[in-house]
Amino acid sequence: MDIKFILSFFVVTSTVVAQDKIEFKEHGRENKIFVIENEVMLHNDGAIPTRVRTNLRGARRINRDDKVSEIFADTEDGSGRLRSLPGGIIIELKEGVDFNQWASHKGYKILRELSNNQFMISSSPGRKTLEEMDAVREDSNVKSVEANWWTNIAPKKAVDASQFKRTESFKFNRN
Amino acid sequence: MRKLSSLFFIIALTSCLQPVPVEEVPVAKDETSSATDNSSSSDSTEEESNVNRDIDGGNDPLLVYQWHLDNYGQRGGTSGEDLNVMPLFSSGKKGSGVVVAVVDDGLEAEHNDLWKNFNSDFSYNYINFSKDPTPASAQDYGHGTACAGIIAARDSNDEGGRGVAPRATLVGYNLLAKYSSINTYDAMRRNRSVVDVSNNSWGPPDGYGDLVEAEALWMAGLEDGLRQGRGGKGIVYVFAAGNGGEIYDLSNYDGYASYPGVIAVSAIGDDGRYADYSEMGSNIWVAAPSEGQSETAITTTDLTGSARGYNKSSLSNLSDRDYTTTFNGTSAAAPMVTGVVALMLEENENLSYRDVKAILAKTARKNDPTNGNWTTNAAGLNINYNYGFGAVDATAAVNAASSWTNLPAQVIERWPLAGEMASGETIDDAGTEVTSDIVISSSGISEIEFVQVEVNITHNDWGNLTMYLKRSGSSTTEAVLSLAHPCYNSSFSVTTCTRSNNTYTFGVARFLDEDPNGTWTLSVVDGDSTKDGRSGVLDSWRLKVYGH
Repeated sequence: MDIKFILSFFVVTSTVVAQDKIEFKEHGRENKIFVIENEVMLHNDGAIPTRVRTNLRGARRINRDDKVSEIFADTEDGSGRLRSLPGGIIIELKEGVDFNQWASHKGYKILRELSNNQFMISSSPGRKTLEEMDAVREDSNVKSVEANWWTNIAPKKAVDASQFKRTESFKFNRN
Repeated sequence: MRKLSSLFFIIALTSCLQPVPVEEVPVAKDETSSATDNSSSSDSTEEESNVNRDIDGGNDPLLVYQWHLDNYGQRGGTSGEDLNVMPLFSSGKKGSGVVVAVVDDGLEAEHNDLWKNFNSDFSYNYINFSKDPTPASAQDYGHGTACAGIIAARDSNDEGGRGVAPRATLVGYNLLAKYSSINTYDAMRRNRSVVDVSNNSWGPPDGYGDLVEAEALWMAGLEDGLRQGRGGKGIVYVFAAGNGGEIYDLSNYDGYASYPGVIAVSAIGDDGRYADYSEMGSNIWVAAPSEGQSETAITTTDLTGSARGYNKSSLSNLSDRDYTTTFNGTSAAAPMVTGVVALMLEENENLSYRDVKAILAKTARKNDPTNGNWTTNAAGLNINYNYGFGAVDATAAVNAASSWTNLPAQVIERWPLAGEMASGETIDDAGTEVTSDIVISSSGISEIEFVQVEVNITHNDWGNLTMYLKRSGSSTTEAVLSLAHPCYNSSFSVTTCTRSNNTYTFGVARFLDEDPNGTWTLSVVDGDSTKDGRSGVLDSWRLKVYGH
């Protein structure tokens, strides 16, 4: 298995702390993400994803109808891209492999078909998706596999620069 | 089981979608007057009092506010600093027959100034899987509706203002309300044989300084739209360049706005100068109007009523709450260009996405001419880190489109031809410059369209790094890839710019039309003056050149 769960003891003063480090393969490269403590994302069908401040176990107990995922950051202090896993694995099969037969044989539920040999199967929300991805990747019929990520995307409206604690050691010359 | 979410401290995912505070704007004394409507006679023969929804026979009362269409100094700006679109309206060119997808947080389909251009057959709601992208009543998502109005608010209908292409067809995909890898893939290629232009006023959150690669599935969807869309001519993708300019964020760090095939748009104000928030970058293609340093923003459609959107009853703005005068950001600049592209495709539907990009660059106006960032590349094109090839000029672009000879087939080359250029040199904390060369000879490309630079660097703080790419041939053109800058965490405190992997791919527009043959030099230096003891290694790099 490619995924390793490593407990980090990195302590920061930020309000956001990420402790569990998850290492996984993405697009053929080693990658790592950190689980943000005490925050989860609810990915309910038919609703807007909602970020909730609570622990994972509690959220799953209370929101049984929801897909509950951890929220991941690129770094221990919660900076970089925020991501979560609502469930779903996107698979591309090698040429000539019939995906209906393949999925049926494997017992996978096909959620969406993207092309003749590319489709999304269901998976458990959260980090379990990454584990299930590794199992899919080991299949010799599979050309590529990736997770269906939620990631932090925003409209490009003007930013309130005053909230950033700026440092004057950096300066760009615009003129 | 019902959710007990009220027990929790809920942070709406979409808190980032809340509207910005609105400015105090006096209501026009006579909102029914239309001082500058030069639309064709067929649009203005009906009685002004006629509000029959089946007839376009009136004015656009808020046109007087829309300096981006016709700036004659009415709001304090510089006359002529606009899209130069009015001559096209006068000749009846309004984007008819062109389909624009607004990929955003939603689009109010029944808005009085949008409904007639809206097409539900090709729209999509990712939350409820319907064809109505109108935000639900509980959602204060007015961003997409504001963008849609800039592109194609209906003209001559006694309602609001008008769009840049006021007869173009609008479809809406509310991707931002339900973002995921699979949905972004879908949004980039949905209705690919129907959609001509895709407006994307979104991307990674700005200002944090991170180098954010685009998602693989977004790239796959976009590539599919470029190759297969519009019968092989390619969907034209317009993206906002980003708004972290005041916090030293570069558009280069946005993997979406830096991607080949994308038109990255920066923002200029009604004085023709850069907006402070608008990000600089080597990837910027053109600039377009938005709120600038004079703080005169854009007038466009808003969510209907006073409860939602940018113009709420509790704050002073236009008395008609279905419109706002406060829309801003490169979010507003991108749909300006989208509208111009719709006008170009109305004029010449045979243009490929590459033709559209080339025309926009070559017809762009050298705005803010005294700005010190203007330079001329080896092909003789003006280029500026703030403005790309300049301010978009609708009339010049449409005129060029009418007689344009399509570009020959695209050639894509990777250099070095096999693998990557290994380096292994240490990037020390003292600021010693590390350089590495790739020599291109006998390229099958004679004119560059775009360049990608993939760098592989081991370093604990990419924010320390200043990187340049230089091509030395008969003359030299240089492109800034990154400048030493801070990163910020979610508490807005300075932190290290740590990457989850050791690679990033920059996109560079500045070499347009140049001959790729020559020596390409990557320079990397630790440009952080604080000397934090961190060093790293330039492991390898490579070039991918797009051209013909």
